[in-house]
Amino acid sequence: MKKWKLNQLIFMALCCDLGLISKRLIGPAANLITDALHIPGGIGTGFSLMFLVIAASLIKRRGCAFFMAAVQSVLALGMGMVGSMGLLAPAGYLVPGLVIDLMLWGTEPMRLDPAARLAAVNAFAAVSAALIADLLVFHLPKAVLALYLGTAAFTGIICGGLACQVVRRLSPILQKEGLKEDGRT
Amino acid sequence: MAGHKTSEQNVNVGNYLRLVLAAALVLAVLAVVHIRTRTEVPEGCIRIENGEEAVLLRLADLPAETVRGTVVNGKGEQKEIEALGLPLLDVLILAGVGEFAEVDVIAEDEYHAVVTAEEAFREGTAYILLEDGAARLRIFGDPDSKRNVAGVERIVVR
Repeated sequence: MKKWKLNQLIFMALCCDLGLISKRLIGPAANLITDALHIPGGIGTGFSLMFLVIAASLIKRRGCAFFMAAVQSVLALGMGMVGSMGLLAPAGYLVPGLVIDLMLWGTEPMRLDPAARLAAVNAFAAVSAALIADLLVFHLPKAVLALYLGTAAFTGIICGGLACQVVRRLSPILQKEGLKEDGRT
Repeated sequence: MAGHKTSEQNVNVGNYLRLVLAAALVLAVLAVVHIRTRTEVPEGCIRIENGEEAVLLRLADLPAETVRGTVVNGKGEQKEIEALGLPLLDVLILAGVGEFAEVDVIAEDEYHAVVTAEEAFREGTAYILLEDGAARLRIFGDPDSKRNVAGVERIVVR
């Protein structure tokens, strides 16, 4: 098994932190929308997961997003950023991380447009996070759950497009720095 | 490198925009269905639903008093709080509720928590607190912080 490069780990740590902090930063703005829709959330997670998608698609190593999600869950527990999930909060990080890795791996041979691919990856990850939150905490009625998941998917798609733009701009720079794994495009 | 495009650079905006538009359309339909079918409760009120019957209580009219109790947050930390409120059971009695097995306390964003009759009848446990013109469910001493429901709009009696 190849060792992680130091610059890869630094970039992943940066994305982990951005993912955690961004959720808090956009919280008030996201609440304006979710309050209007009368749903308990679904926006912040899609935005937060964008940073895991960016790192995983730039570094291109199996398990990268899951590894980052594990770090995020430890940080979240350590800093008390557990929200309404309490001690079950790690599930809300680990499952979307796993989904990102599986989706990136599964869509790799499909020759999809990069923006559509990352939008799908981010959307599935956001929906998985929303499903975990519903299973563990919300237990929403069907109509509300559908809107909650739809909001998560839509945010995931928008943020997936943003992730694609970031990846497109950073990719040539990071390739020069040797951050990307060789042999995979 | 000038003139060379990697797979990431070759972004087909058309497909992505179609995906965004399709998702926006689905989301709009879901939002309309949800907003049209949800029970509207006037601001500053709480609706108690007992079978076919529904009673609206104005929060300002509730006989609230200063209550004290211990709450437990998501990290397991205990904190003493003091707030204006009244026992959940008093709210139910005001709405004319007789016997019940449990009540579902529902917030405006559909977040909800179930309180059993045993908890409602246990003195010093289940309270409706009034904070900034809105109602909040607090179960004092409950280690499950998820049952702290802010912005309570409806109470469904079972």
